[in-house]
Amino acid sequence: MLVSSVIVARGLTKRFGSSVALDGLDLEVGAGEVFGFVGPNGAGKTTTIRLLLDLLRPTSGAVKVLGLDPRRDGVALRRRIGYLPGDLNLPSRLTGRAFLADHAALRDMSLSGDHDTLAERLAADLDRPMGELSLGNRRKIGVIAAFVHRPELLVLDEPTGGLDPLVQQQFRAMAREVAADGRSVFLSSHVLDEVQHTADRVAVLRKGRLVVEDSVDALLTKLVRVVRVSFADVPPLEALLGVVGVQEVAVGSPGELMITLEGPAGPLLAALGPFQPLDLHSTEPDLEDVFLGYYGEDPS
Amino acid sequence: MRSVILRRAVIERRRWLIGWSLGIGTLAVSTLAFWPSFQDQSADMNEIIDKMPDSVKSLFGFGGGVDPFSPVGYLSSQVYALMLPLLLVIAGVGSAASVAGDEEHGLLETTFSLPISRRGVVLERWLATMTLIGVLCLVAFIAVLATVRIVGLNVGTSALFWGSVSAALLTWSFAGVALAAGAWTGRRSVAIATASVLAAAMYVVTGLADAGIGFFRSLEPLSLFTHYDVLHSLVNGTPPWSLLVLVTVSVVGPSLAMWGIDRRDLRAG
Repeated sequence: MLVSSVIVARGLTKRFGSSVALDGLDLEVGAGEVFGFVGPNGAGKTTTIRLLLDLLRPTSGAVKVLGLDPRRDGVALRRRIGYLPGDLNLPSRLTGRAFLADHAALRDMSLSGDHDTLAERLAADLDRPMGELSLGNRRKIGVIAAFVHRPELLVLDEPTGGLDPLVQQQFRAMAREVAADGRSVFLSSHVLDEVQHTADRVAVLRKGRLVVEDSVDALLTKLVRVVRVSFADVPPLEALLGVVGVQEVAVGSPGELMITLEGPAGPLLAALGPFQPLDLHSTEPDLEDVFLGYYGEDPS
Repeated sequence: MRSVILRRAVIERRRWLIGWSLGIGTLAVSTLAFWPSFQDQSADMNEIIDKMPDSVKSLFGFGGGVDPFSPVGYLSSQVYALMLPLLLVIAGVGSAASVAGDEEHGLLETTFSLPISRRGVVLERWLATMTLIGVLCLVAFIAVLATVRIVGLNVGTSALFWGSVSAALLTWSFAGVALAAGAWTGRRSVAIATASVLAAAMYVVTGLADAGIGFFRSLEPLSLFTHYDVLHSLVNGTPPWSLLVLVTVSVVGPSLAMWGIDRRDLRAG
């Protein structure tokens, strides 16, 4: 067990009729860490999050969040949590400011300069009815509601969906600031890049089961992706096959090689240098292919 | 109690409240404004009504042995027996079922993640429904009172007061049923269907029981419309037993709702 765990799940299972959404999940999230919870759609990430917040009740197993039982101590627990749902639905006629004022009142707070600071940082419009805002702008209001009371634990489900890249950057910085402050972030996502740039540790979930849990750095060394390199003169395949991390080299379109690479790209880049590549493009690895392929799971 | 959810639910429905108030006010005024001309033709109309079967007369509020063209009979049959409770029950059931509707649309996901219990959310939404229906009944009371005075319909203020109180209690009862059905299932359609079917069945039971049909007479005490005895309310005030039944059902519905919402998974939007 971690020295100070904010989430401890043991054998957490959730069934909906005959379908198993979560199957015996064991998980620990430590204080002050950003914990990435990744997996393809339908893996059980949102089910786990809804169990943490007592929106769902487990079929079996147990979970403690901030040392409390989500069901028995729900009100006290939710006072210490900030939550951003993946599917954020907001009252369309309400302005962001009125929505945030209600949330603040339910937390025995009032609207403060912190709300405006965060709104400014995310370029959020708090004064228009939320029904008139784009998906990304509505999401910014959800982010403010989750962060503004400085919760001990932030539970964020697919937080950057619909946000533009600049705001995504701000969001990542905010998540890191939370961790630097000794508070914790539980970040669910199916976007590898988001987790890679934000989380300290990652758990991969698939079909309701934990496939792997490790530090981001450790997992990054195991990533498998395809690098497409174009040349004026294509080098012989054998010249690259022996390079550390290169698993496979194939000819793509004319003048292009497709190199399957595992782990850091440094040795490959060094080996490519003498052949003067014209262009290089690394595909974003698909989580299912990368993690499940690596761990020998059947991705079907 | 912070009442944030109660306050927001009432504010969110302010346009709804204005619309329903106008509708109910217009119903009362436009119906009662015909009193003088109906009074003139009461003999002809009585002849037509007398030819109706007792069951049909009861269903349209012409039963109870009261002259439908007496002031109380006219007020009862034209406003309080059917039209007013019908509109109020539609409004009340719709308002109570909106809790399940909001859950279905994912609008309660963020609310339920805040430091307030599920029961607290349901209770405040119920109090909002009670408030809105209370306002509509007050509007009906004022509109009827003003109109009967203008057209010279001789009915006392206390009779109108008790008629409106009974209507409010009846509406709260069916709204409570909708709230409970929605809280147990998380489905707006189930909430509306349960309360509507129950209201329609009870209305028919009371109407047919009033017409003396034996089978329905045995079911009569189970019907809330039997306890919403508006003629009796308009003449003598609402009987204490009926008041007790309606108040009890108005409390049991939301209590069941608070129990139900605490026992299940909440629906994702």
